[in-house]
Amino acid sequence: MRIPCPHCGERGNDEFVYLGAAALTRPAADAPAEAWHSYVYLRDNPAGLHSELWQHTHGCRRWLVVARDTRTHAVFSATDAAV
Amino acid sequence: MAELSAFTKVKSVAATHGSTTAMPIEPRSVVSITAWRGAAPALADAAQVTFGLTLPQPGRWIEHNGLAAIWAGPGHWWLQRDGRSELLAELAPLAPHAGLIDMSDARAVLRLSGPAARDILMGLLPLDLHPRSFTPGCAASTLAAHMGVHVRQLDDAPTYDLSCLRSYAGSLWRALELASAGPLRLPAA
Repeated sequence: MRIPCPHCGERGNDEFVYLGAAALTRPAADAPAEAWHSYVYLRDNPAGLHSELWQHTHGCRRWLVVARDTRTHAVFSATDAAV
Repeated sequence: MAELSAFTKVKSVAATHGSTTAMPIEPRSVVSITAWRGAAPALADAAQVTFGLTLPQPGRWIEHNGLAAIWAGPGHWWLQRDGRSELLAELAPLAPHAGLIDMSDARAVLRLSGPAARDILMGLLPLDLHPRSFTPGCAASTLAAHMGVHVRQLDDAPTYDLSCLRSYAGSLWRALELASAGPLRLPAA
């Protein structure tokens, strides 16, 4: 599996570290426990397109949002998470 | 205090095979500069005005008056000079715009040069070093045998510099020997 880093170009996935879903929204500090439980523990497990965070640890060290098909590992896009 | 080579444990620190050579570049001064948030344009201006240095674009490095600037990530460069110097103090004019960290004692640099250099590195780095995609002036950070390295090409000999964490210097040397096994074998360390 190769990830097209927007800064370094296409690189092998051993240069990257995986974090998890990119679309999580952190609840307010005073949100109910259920909201925090959901944020911390509950994850979708899609068979198909998944938006996720990868860090290019051994390249530019930037966090990227990568759109990947979980069935085929086809990567559709990779953008800088901070831009 | 006497300078201790990062390659002390390696018996033959300057190896040759035919006209392809591998040797440590020591000593040298290295400073990491990272632009503060939003300060990249001001940092580029200061580098240009003070040092005549045009901070390079992604995947590139340049040198001016012996001071090399190597791209390492968005807003992040390594500034490097051969020989031991007070590089951190010299770069003080950049301090208002960037975080400066002296990495001179943290990094070890190995220079591989000669006709076989590209073939040897192609067996070590997961990069395409063919001249159509990696030429003098190109720089990249990647993995070599699970060790993080920065690589840059200096000329068409071809000559490459590999920079790794100092404590990995011996391991990188041995990985280079393994990558050059066969007709390109370097003398055993």
